[in-house]
Amino acid sequence: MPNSSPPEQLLRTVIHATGDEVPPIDAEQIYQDQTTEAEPEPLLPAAHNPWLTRLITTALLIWLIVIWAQAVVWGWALNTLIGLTLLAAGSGIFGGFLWLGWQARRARHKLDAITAIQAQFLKAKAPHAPQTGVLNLSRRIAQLLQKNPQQAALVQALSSVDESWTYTELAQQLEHSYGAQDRIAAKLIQREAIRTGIFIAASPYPLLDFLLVAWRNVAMVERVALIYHLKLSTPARWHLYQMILRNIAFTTVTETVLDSVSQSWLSNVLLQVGVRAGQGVGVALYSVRIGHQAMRLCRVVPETQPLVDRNIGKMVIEAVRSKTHS
Amino acid sequence: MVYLPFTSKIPVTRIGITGLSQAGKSTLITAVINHLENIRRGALAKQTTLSGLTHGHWLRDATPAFDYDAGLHALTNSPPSWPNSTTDWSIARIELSIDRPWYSTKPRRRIIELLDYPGEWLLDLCLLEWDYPTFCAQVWSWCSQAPRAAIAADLIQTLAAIDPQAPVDAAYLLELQQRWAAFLADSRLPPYQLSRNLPGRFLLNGAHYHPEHQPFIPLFALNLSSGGGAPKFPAHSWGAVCTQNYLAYRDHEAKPFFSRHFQSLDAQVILIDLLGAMTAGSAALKDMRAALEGVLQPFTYGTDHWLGRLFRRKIRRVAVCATKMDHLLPDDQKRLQSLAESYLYDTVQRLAAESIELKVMAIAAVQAARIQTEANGEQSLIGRDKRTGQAVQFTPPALPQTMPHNLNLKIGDLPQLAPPPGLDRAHPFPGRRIDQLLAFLLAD
Repeated sequence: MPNSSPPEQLLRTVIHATGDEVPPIDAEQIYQDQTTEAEPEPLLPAAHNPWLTRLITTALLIWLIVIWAQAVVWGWALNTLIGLTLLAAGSGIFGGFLWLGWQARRARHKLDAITAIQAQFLKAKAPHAPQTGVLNLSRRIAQLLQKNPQQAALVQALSSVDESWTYTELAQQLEHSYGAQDRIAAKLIQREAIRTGIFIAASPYPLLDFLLVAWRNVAMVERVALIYHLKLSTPARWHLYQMILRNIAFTTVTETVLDSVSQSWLSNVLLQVGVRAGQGVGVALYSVRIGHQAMRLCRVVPETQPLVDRNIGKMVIEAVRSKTHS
Repeated sequence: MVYLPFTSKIPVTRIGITGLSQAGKSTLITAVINHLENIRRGALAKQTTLSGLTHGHWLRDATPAFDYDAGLHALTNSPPSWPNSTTDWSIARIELSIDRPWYSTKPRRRIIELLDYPGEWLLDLCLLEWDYPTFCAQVWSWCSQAPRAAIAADLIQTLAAIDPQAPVDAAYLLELQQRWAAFLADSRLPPYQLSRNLPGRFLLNGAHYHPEHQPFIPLFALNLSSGGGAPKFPAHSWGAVCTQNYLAYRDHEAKPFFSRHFQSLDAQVILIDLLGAMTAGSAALKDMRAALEGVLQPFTYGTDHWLGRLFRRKIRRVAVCATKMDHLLPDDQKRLQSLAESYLYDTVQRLAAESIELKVMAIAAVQAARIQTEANGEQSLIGRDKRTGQAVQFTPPALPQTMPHNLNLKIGDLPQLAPPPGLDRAHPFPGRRIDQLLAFLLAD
């Protein structure tokens, strides 16, 4: 029978060793391979709750409750209506604090989970890092996001993940799913940073600058979180700002600017635009950094490509300079 | 599965499980029962689709019951071995408890029936559509080409030399049938690993079929000299006896099996040993694809066809699973899935137009290899060779991203692994994607 088909592509298996030279294999090790997954330390600082703080808080709470009870009794003695009003007001305030505390706890857990997931991705990128546990990680991400119906597409994208996926593949899948949100957030940050910079550059009252920066940055962080469908409670927001400030506290404006422009070019610009505009540029670049950090915090996957265009700093400087000159 | 509210009847989901040549049916069913028994642990516990299932219990009352004990014994023995191959049909019944809200009217129990039957029998589906001359013509078209032409050149020449009009020699017919059965057995084993081995019951008789009672063989002269139309044979000639016995086999063995079991199936799992076929080479790959196309063909028939009515009455989900994915490194496991998809692309495309949910996936019922990462980051697999029983450390070849269109692909020296020691019934066996397979099959 004539056989004119081309030769087969031969894929060879390499046998390294047989017999006693090979490490033993048993089901227990396979179970361990499947389940061993070092839980990374959360990037967020651990909640500080030393015994002294706890004692003072408890004493304060007891004291407040006693005062409140005394006020209710006193009000009741004066007039039943006053007593009832004090009772209702106290209960309302107490309930409000409880609710706030619960929200803070939830938000804190969510942020902890996101940073822990990011840490796991980063750990897996290290040379020779084991590539097991991708499926578990994707399930954790899906579990984290599934309560939010707006993240359904992201959860759907994760449904195709299986154990053969590598961390890189999972990160790519998530990056792809975040694509639209990243673009919107980057545009927002650019717009907000330029506006803040121009406000500062044009502000006649330096004392108002702090309030202005805080207002714009808080609004920006809030909107970035909204783009990623993250709801942040008030204490969680405060925690986020704290963290952002902590991250940038030791970073000078120069370092931030170095991300986008050369130092010589920067000094030239500052000389050209003047001190006031220079302040505007500095604050705008701070804002870019804060927005960038907020973006990184809201995503379960660490950035592989710069989330905010590295040229954005240059664009901000150009925009502030042109606006302040005109 | 059909459920009527406010009825006390426990709904039953029937899943047919079959596979082509050494694909691991018995191992899969044993692993599935084991996973359902340990439903609160392992991968199934994390599967959100099955989160309502709280308890699984294997029932021994099915007749004929799948021999779960034998499967467990083989896998947990010292040294462990793979469960014996399926030789007849059997049923594994598992009762599942479901956690429902107090106000739910849906049942809190569900029974899963896994119908296990030899893949060789499934291939007999083709026969249902063929008369005897068509059977001879089809088999000739396979046997006239490599590798079958080389496996049994003498037998093929002998069959081609028989005059269908000549009086039959009963003893010689029986001998030829036995040689044909031996040829089929050789074809399906390594190094050939061919899939289209008909008639299927010549390989695995089952409890009630005795091939020697009504022997038949394909007569190739019939095809060589055919000029169209149904041939007429004198009584007691080779042609007449073979035609009569072929029709008896088709109508009284193959057809009742499908009529009896397929009309009640809700889902079908077809296991394929794609890696095994790749180890055997392009001929095995082509043969297996043709066999699968034949097996899945009835799903494309309309309801005016009896096979179409039979297959499409209830079956809504079909999973084609490439087994033994654990014999590859993680990157290649993903490629195995995409290779299986491109390998069956035509069939998948055809079924996508029908109301059938078809899922092609790569699985490992019981993981036999573990990954060893060296200090330099290189990965290899460690397992126990099935033939020698010795531990072996190997690096399987990197698979291509896509299946070559001409299927000219061959894997060399891939070891066949034995199950790992230390498996325990009280823990879900380590496997790959069993949870996903069950989620697909059991989803409401």
